[in-house]
Amino acid sequence: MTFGRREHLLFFSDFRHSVSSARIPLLVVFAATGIAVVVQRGDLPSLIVVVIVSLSTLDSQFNNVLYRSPGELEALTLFPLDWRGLFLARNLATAGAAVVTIVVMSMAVLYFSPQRAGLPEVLEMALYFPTVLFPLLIIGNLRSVQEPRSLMGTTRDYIVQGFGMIVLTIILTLPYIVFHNLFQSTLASLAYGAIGAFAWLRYSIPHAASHSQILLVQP
Amino acid sequence: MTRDDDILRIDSLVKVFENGLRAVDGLSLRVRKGSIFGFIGLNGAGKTTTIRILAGLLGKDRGTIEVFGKTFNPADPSTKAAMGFVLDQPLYFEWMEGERYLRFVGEMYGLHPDSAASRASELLDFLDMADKRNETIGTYSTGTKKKISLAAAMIHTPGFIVLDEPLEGIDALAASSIKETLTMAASRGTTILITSHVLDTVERFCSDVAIVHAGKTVLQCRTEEIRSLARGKIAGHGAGSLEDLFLELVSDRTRQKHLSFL
Repeated sequence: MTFGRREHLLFFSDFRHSVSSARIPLLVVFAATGIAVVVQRGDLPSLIVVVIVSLSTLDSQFNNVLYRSPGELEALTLFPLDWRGLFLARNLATAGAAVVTIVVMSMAVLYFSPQRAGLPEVLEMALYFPTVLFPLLIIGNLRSVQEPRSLMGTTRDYIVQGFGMIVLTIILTLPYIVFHNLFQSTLASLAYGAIGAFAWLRYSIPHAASHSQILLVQP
Repeated sequence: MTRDDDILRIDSLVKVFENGLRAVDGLSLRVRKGSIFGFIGLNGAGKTTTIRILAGLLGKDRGTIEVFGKTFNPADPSTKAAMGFVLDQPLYFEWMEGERYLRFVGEMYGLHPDSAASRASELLDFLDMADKRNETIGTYSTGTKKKISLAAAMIHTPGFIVLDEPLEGIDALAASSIKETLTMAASRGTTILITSHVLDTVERFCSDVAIVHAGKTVLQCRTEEIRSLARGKIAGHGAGSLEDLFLELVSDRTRQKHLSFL
């Protein structure tokens, strides 16, 4: 699988779209809630919560890869395009948008927090992030080809889907909790993240790509 | 005519939908290189289904399709790169601005970024859309959306452009600029396949015509042959126009119709 000029183009256009205005209201609501909790409790919650909430604002980026707007899968079909490249580029753009969202959300929450976050909190967040990112990408790619949403939802849909993402991300956090808190093994968390990355690149992208090709031509 | 003269050959194409509708039922077609080919028929005759099969948006059930002398494979990037499409429901990325979209499409078809940028700008000027270049496509009117679709279909100078109802639902000014653009492309050797319900436009604009009815081709000829064919087929009535010939082939003129209140 190569990452050529077309994939760069798809990555940058999708990254730009991912950080654009559609999800801003959701982000503001969640950030305001987080800030209110921090200010009221007077302590710093785990930054893992910030990651979970940030990821929840990216539902359509994860779970609807083929449609950023109506008719987009059909429009993409007209291009001389490698579908694996499309999934790779859009998944990487989603990961990039997730990082940007997490950084912005963390800064907003930490700004109002009476306590300061140190290196251990940041490292914990960095260790945790890949353990949920790759499973979310794998599940998202599967959902994108099994139940593509050609029409984007209303604000209400975004909020419902956002809460769905929170629940899913919490479930996907369980392995990290087991490895990190129960066994206190950083290595196991790292290995779990690496296995997720391998499965995403080796199996999820080719599978989603092959299903995209037949999605339209099925009777 | 030799096989090499055809840019598109369709033989006995069949497409049956899940609900049992036989949208295309043994359709055959030859499109000459460099021609402007009018593909006409009533609503539901099978035109759009045929075009969606050519675009790779639908699979065929039976029949053979050759494009540029090769068996048609919708997944083949080289075939896609040599074709441009304007579909009945134009396809684009609604969230992109017009100029950015054209540059994106140009680069997706392999143009150098500088070349894509200059062609995008030139197309927007030519189609009188310069003032819309920084507006998102989702905000465009129907006519402007058709024009941006046409620009996207042409930016990579494909050898074969397929247009499904490009003149439908747009004003005379937009229609004129679309026809002007297509005429210019055709004069440079681009083959154009176009569907339209405006028969006199097809008769004046196209060099070849095919009439499709109930999923089958009922007539294919050069436009210059229409009058003699019409005179042969329509005894006693009609001026020998494409419209007369079309009505003769696809409708039952012997059936008497009337409204009780008129």
